[in-house]
Amino acid sequence: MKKNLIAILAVAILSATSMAFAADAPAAGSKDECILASKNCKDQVDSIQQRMKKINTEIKKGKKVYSAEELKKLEQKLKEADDILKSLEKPGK
Amino acid sequence: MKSSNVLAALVTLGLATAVATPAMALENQFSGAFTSFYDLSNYTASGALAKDAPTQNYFVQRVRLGYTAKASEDVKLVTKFELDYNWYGNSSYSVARGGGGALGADSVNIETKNLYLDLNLPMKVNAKIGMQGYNDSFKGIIFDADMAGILLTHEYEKAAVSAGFFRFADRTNNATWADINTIGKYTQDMFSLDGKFSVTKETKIGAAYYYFSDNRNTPVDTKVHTLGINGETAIGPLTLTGFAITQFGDLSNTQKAKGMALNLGAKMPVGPGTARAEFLYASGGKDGKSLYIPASDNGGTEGGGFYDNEMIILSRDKNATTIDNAIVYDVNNRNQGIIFASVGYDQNFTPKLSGSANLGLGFAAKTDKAVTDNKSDFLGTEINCETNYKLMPSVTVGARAGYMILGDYFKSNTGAHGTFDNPYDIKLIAKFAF
Repeated sequence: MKKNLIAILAVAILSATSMAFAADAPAAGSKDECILASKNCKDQVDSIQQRMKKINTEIKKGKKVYSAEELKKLEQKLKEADDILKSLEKPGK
Repeated sequence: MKSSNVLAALVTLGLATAVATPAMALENQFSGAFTSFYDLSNYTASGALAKDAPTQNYFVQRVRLGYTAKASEDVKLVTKFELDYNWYGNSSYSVARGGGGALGADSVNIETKNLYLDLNLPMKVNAKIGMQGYNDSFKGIIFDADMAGILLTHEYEKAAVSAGFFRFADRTNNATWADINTIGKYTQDMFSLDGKFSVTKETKIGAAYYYFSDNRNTPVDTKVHTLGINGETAIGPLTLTGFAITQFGDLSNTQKAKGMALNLGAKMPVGPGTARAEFLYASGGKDGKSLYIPASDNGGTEGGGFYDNEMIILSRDKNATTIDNAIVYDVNNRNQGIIFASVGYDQNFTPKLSGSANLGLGFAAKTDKAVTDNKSDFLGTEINCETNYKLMPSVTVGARAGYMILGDYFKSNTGAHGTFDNPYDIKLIAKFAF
């Protein structure tokens, strides 16, 4: 009995997970922008330029939105992104 | 509950957990860069000056891929890989670094550049452990390379201090298994201590100490101390940067290290663009007077290139990949040292179109007349220009061309050197970074 209960629970959990994935698919009648134009993909990650742009936008919001500590953190993240870009374009062997 | 039931429950729960939730919420950061260029030159590929030098033309391609797994703000794994075609058509179906550029491709040519753990520890200490990119605080003339080690950095409100240990090489690299019992005994290592302090918003000063030891080729025992200061300040529209380095200790058992270097750089808005100037002196000469720069096992110095003067032929080109030749490859300049002076100008014509022009001179700081028979220490004058157009925010196409008028260094008093053609180089470049 217990084995059966566990099996049912496992199936329920797996089904819930599958439903969550299914919910991310485009609604019927709408275009899949991800396949069509590489836009709004569920698993897309920012390019380094997009990341830097986003961080800059947040830094510009200034002390009205962020504390001094948070602004320092954002500036640190901007420097990190800039360092990555420099490292990618670094000359030499 | 019977043990089989407990096992079934554990397996089921484990499976369900593994599928329903990720083991750890990771932020995945991907980055990369693609560079390809066509090169036309009478010097760049061969690295040899000649009379009636043959024309060399080739295509080069480089891809760098980076992946960072961020477990939290305080823990991340940083990786970077490189895939080069040293030139199109070089080989296929091969196991070769930089190979695979010929018909059929299918070659093993991936290079691992960086693999390190980046940790933010308590007490505001950052630790980088593993194979990482690291450069000196002197515009990279001593070292600027990927190296394995540990770097600890502590940031204060207006200052930062870092301390590191890096193992450049171990003699067991080329030893047999019988020698493995000496692992860690005959090594080339570096200890670094680096401090930076912001005096004001515009003025920063720093000091750095690098200790290089190398006892791989006993009884030669190298123990070189490199000590220097660096600074940056703004006076009105003028930005100045510079450094001074001195070296002491033992270059070998019989020779003391006496190298030194000085640099001053300036930048200022002039007209619609920005004017730049750089001056560098790196000592040269016998008896340990030339600047010590650590070299890798392949014999190439890992640093020592001076890129801030924006030269193509006189010193190393910022666009060069595995084919990387220059009149002055590193500032040690085969123990002759170097005096560089350059001016340049950058301008953005439109938000998408930009251009630069540069003029640079080079002198060997100290030549050994008894050996080299050079008519003078003057290496020559380079003039170059480039233009870049941003097709998209992440894609740039450009052209860069340089020409060098060789100095009398390349003429000998006796005529034994012969005469050389002045070298030139033209590149058409496409770049994508993401």
